[in-house]
Order: sequence, then structure tokens, then C-alpha cells
Amino acid sequence: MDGEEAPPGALNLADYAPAGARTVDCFRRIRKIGEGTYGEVFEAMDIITGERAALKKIKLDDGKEGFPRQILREIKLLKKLDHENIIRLKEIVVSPGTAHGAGGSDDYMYRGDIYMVFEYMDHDLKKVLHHSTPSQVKYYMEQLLKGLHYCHVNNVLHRDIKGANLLISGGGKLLKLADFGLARPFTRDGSFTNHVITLWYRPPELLLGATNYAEAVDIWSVGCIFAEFLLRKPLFPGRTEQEQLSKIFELCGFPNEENWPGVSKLPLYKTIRPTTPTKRRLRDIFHNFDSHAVDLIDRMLILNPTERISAHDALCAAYFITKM
Amino acid sequence: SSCCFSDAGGESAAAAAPMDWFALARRATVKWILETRGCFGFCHRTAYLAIAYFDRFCLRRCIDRSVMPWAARLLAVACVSLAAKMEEYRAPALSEFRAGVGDDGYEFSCVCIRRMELLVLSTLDWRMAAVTPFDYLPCLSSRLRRHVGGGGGAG
Repeated sequence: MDGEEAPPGALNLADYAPAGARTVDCFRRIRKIGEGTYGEVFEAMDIITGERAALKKIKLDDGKEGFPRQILREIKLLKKLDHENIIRLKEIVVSPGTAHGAGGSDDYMYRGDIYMVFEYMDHDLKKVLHHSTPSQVKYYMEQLLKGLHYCHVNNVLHRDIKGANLLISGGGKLLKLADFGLARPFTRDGSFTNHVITLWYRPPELLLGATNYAEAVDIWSVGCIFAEFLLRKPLFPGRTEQEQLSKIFELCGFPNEENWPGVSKLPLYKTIRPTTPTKRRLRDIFHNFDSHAVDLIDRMLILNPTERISAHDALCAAYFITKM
Repeated sequence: SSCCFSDAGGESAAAAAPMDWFALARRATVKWILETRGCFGFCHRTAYLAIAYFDRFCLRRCIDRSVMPWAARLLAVACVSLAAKMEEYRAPALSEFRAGVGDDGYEFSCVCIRRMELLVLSTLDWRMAAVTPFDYLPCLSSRLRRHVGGGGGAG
């Protein structure tokens, strides 16, 4: 090392956002609206424009990881996706840099916070999941599938579709997909982790340990939500992965090589056994509902992922063509 | 004025011109990034991205010459770490950047590296996805294959 070198404390990069960059001081915090894996979410108002926004605070731990990879990927995806049914990431701001302590040596111990600034939405779908009219349901489902189709066309799997991640605004007129924290780009031969998607909405292939999956995982979740809209209660409220599978098989029948070629090769297939020989009886629990809606649910909740309807085909289904 | 590595005065007239020392610093950085890629077994795309981050950063910010060469190395570590997180199936922990790679004895704390990561992210306006030549390779190679296959008469 030569004499030109300076100790790290003297790093001439004291402010860690470029001069003129917006900081969180540009917003007035209104209230806390939620808590995510990586930190709290606040409703706030842009002091200059008066526009409302949702600020998702990203906690940075003392981490060995550095800036969290999951957040980095979420930002990358959100910057790529531009659709009216997908939440818009407006900007990213930092908390203004105030170094801790006057001592020069811990100058670089700065612990700033990062905020992702999203457009503000009134509430999530969970709130209206159990009391929506049939015409509202159709409206929500159409927007959900449009947003999802756009994701899939752009090779993005959402991987965590549930009521809390679908946001509603404009007096119930507008639905947007949010929380891409588990989303990731996919390729045809990619291998992923199977620990995604909240249990109730998790498809059978993931519960059986598949690591090579595709768009159909999102469609299963959409089918569960659709069914929950009609039934006004969760379709498969399992408490454990085991119980989740038995609830699914109870209604959708037991998977075998005939109805799902390849299923017996999935890692966890051998651990399950049919309690009673079960036939598919999903339609039976929907006997009082719009038959087009039930048809569509039936095609979304097919055990074999390769036979499950795509978002595009779902949008062309009779359910969306017929008027209420 | 387009050169953002500033040569803090006091150097003798014999000192290299600003562009020269920047070119040297950049060459050393690229070399280090390529070696690091090999050490961790990253794909080439990751190295390409890291170098692209480094270049974009240097276009936008000033780094004083007095903090060279370690500042360039810290910047390179942050760029490789970010690129790995964007591209690789498994990104190394920040502490892994200390040992093994290079023998010039630079050791940065995790806090220090993360700080630099944030500076890179905000300086690049959080636009970390980039199109690289590697994105075109599958398309080109499949065309080439078709071409060769279509030639038919060979052999």
C-alpha cells in the first residue's frame, strides 16, 4: 500500500444520495398502514404536490448481506412492469444523511433508511373478499387476470397472490397487484424454491415439493380467491401443509399418473396417501352459483398445472363475455 | 469537465494527466472484477454488469484522487456484490469479499460495503437492470445453428 492511501473514515462520499436527490423529508407522514417483511408501510403526503403515497420503509439490518437481494429484485421487476393493474413504484427516497456522533471514526457507521414510494391505494382486497356483489367480483377478477397476464407475458411470476397483496382504489373501481417481494423472472427450465405463496393459496405442485413450476402457480391462487369471493369464506383453509393437501384432494380428487402424468415423481408424493378414494367434487359445493363462474373456477383449480387455464384464456372465458 | 475523477492539486507537473490515471484505475478495476468473477464462479454477465455499474457511477460522481486506489476497489466490491444479487442464484455474503480475492490487502467492513452499495444504487437512480450483449447470444446462436443446419450440403 502506498502513502497516497487514506483511511476509510475519510471517504469523500459523506452524503450517500446524489446532491439534489429527494429524501423522505419531501413527505409528511400521515399514519402507519401496515407491516411487511422488510419493514413498515406508511400513508404519507408529498409536501410539494399534495399527492398521497404509500411509503414502504426498508429496514437495513446490520447485515452480512448488504442491501437486501429481495428488495433489489423487487425494485428491478417493478421498474420493468408498467400496467394499470400493477402497483406503480413512483420513486425511492432515502432518509437524509446525518452522521452519528461527531467523532470522525464512526462517520461511516451511518444507518440510513430506504423508502419505496408507491401510489396510494385505499385498502386491500381482503377487506371486501367476503362481501362483494357478483358484478364487483367479475370486475375485480377481470383486473386481477389482466395484471397477471401482463406479468406472465413479461416472464414474471408473482408467487404470492392473496387478498392482502391485491390493492383496491377509486371507490372499488380499480384493482392492482402489489408486493412483488417474492416475485421473480422465470425461464422455461428454471428451478426455484418451493417455499412461496401463503398456504391457503398454494397450489398442489408446490405442496408436493416441485421446484420446476410456471405461471400455473399464480392461476391456482387466483382460483382460490375467486372461489372465496363466491363462498364468502376461504376454500382451503389448511393449518399445515399436510392438512392443506388433504383439503385440496378432498374437493379436487386424488392425483395419480392418469390425471396428472409425472405427479408420482414429485419429491413428496410418496408421503401422501388417499384416506378414502376421492373423486373430484369441486363443482358440488358451488351448485347455487353462476355456471360460467363455476366453469372458470373449475378450470383454474385443476390439479395438473399443465392443464390449468392460462390468464389469457381465462380472460376469454364465457364468464367475462356474458353480461350480468 | 466530463472526467469525474478529480485530480486534487499539489501533484508535480510530471504526474500523469487526469485521463491517464483514471484509465489506469479503471483497468485495474476491470482486472479485479474479472478475477473476482472467476473466484466466485459467477457467470460472465455478472462481471459485465458490475463493470457497467462502475462506469456509470464514474460518469455521474466525483471521486477525489487522494482516496484512490482504495475507493475504486471499494466501489468495485459494491458493484460486484450488487451485480451478483441481481444475477446469481447465490450471492456471497459481504464478508466473503475480504478473503481470498486479490492480494493487495484491502479489507472493508460490511457496513462500509453496504454504504457504498447504497451510494451506487442511488447514484444510478436504482436502474440496475441492463441489457447486455449476453442477452442476444441465445438468439444469435440459434440463428447460426439454423443457418449451419440449413446449409445441408456439408460433408
